[in-house]
Amino acid sequence: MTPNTHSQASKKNVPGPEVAIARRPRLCLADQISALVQEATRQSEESGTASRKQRSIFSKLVKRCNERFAAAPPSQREPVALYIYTLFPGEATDRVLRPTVSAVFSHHFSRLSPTISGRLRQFVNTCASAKTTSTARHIASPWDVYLLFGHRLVTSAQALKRLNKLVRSHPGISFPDFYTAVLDKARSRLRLNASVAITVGSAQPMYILEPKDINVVVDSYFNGHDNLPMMEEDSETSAGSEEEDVPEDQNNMKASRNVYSRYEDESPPLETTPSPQSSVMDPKSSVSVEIGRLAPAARNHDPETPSPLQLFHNLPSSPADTLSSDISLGLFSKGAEVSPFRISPGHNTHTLVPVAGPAGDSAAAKEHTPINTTMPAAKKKAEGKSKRFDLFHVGSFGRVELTARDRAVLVDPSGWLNDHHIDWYNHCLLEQYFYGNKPATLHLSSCLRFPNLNKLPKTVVWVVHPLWTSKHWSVVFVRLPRNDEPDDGAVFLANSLPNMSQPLAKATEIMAACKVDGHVTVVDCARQTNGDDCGVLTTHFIDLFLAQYSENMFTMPDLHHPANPTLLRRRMLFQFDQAVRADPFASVQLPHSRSSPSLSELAAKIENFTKVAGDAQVANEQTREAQHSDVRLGREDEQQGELRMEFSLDKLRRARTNGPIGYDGDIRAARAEIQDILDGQEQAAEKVQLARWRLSCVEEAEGIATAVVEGVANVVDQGLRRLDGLSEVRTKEMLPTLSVGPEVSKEGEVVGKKRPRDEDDKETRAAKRVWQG
Amino acid sequence: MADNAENGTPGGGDDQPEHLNIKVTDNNNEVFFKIKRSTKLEKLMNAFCERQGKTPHSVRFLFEGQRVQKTDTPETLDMADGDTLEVHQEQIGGFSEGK
Repeated sequence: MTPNTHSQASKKNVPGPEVAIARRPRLCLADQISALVQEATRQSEESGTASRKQRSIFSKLVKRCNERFAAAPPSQREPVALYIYTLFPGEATDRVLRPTVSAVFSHHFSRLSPTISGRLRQFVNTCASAKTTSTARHIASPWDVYLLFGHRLVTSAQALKRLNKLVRSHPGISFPDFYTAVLDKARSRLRLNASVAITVGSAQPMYILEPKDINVVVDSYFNGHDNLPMMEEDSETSAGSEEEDVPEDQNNMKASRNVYSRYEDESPPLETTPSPQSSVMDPKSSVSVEIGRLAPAARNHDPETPSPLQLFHNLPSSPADTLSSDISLGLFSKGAEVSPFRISPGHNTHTLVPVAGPAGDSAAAKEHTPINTTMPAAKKKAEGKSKRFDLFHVGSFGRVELTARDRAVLVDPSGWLNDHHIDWYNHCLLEQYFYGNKPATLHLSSCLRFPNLNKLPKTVVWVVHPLWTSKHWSVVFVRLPRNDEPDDGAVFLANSLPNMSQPLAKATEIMAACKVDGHVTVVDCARQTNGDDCGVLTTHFIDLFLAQYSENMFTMPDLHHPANPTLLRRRMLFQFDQAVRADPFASVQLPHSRSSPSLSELAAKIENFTKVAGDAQVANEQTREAQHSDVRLGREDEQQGELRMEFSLDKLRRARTNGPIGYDGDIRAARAEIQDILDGQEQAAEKVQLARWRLSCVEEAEGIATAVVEGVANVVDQGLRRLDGLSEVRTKEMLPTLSVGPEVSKEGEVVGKKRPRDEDDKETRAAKRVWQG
Repeated sequence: MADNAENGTPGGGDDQPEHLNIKVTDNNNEVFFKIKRSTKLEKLMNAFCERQGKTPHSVRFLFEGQRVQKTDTPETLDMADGDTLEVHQEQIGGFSEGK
């Protein structure tokens, strides 16, 4: 095969333009898939040393997963619906998860619907609360590998513990966080070398994230390990030389290799098929995901020949195709002995054919039987009549064609529901609770007529039939008698107006048709408070029934649960709009595209938005300024703190270095001070004693002085008295002579009387001297 | 060719006749239509509604218990000659007037 012919063949294999998806989740899970492929194909040529144990463990993991979920024939295959941990609408989760998990077991996605609700959240909570979950704990793996299979989270026990811990520590965890955490765990623990390229051919725009002419996305974090065969420079350059010869319509391939050249030293290049230049997306065409890598033996292989390890997988392009398609497994057909496949287009089916190895190992290819992947049902339906009735696939609501008139009924709070609403919403509930894997024991019939019991499968135990009697909705739950024992059956009637006679009569007719003995049991349930909500409440009863349904259920579950008809209507409307958005062929137009607002309304809205934006900008500036000031203050405080810290450290340093000496000096000084104080106290005591002695002396002197004074005073009194006596005597003597003084008288008698006066003067003088002293 | 003409299969080896007789009944009236296998049933439905004086959105057409869409044809539904389409009234309910 020449390179040109091969390129033409590859064009046929992958129709439509190719785009690259550079998304981490996809890449991470694709890494796992590539690792699986690598491990399975490398069992015979074990070359790695460091990760040998890991790979052996991983191969066991793969083998067990395969035996559990995929090895059985399609008829006996365990139903596995995708369980997504999200509160997001189904469209978003579908967009994220579809190209990843489907690459492992794509038939999961045939059960995906946009009606996924928060019920999925319960599983995460269950994982967090319950110590034992329904996960496949028997798979022993030391890695944190999380594989999502249907209702099960296949992981190791340790990984499950970490998952529970994660969920407990983040009560409000949402899907991206959880999923990213899981992938981070897987990425950090999974040390397999792999290089992955995801090439998506003609796809619906919903699944195209980067519609560029880049074909190859190479992961950089899985490279550079010991046993990864690097692409040699010669083959890369030879590939580059061949690119010059290819026609211009293969520019995308050049671009891919140019992009890849950045990772040239890390990973081998990947084979990509050239894409046509047409950018028209055909929504009906299927999406092909190619995950490829080069085996060690393929390093020197011609880059234009198909890679020996390429997995082509056919995916539906829209939720409608997803729901109606029955895509079977395309990866693991015989345990862990997996061979790379390439897609072989057929008339009505695409076949995954094992690709012969680079050494021309055609015998190995013959060992693997081709795996057929059926085409999407929409395409099948368009081609022929092989599939007559695609009931309720979301794309066109199945056989129920909802119209804008039906939507208006849901918008109107007093609108009356019709049979279209009931049947369509019942289907939504089935998808929500069972993901299309409706239990074999349950039959939810159309409200137009009760089903023919002879045509029902024998496994059916419960029949749910919405009952319409004289403009009123109710629902009948029939437990069919087993083994033709009428006592085993029962008929329950859930009616929001339980006193009505017509539904009871109709239920009795049904009971007779079902050959059930006894009487109709009217179930205690919510009652309507107006004349409009019987249809909504009927769907609510069916919702409660399906929520509590189990295959071994024998008695009627509790339907007595309060309901808010307004919220129920909104929920139905929400799912209606979701389905319309997910349906590219929907005839119903949503209000935002149907009624355009007037210019004045638009101008008012723009003005309002501008005002709000201005306010928000001002608030942002204020917030930014406040943050700047806070930062400034914080920095100042920080600087002060640093200074204090330095000072304290310096002080501490000094204390550490001079601490003992300082202590001794202080003690010495204190002792000296104490000694001084004690000396001072002694001196003070002496002074006190001296002062007391002086005081006593003064007191004695004072007493003496007082006595002297008293004595002197007595003497003075006596002297004065004597003076007074003398003066009286002298006066009496001198009166006759009137002489004054002794000179005056010449006789001796008078002169001799002067001497006592002198003696008194002397005594007086002495007393005065004592008193003054 | 002669044998084919004798067997009454003018389709050149095709066993199924090109035209089908379809009976449409609503339990009260029966109307027969003769249509081609590739004709959309929308035409038949509109003709029945027009004849019965009903609006198309107020009735439901069922074939073997399944709803019939406007875009369906006898060929896609694998209908045979003499098959019957059931007609049901639109079921709309809020509460019972005759309570």
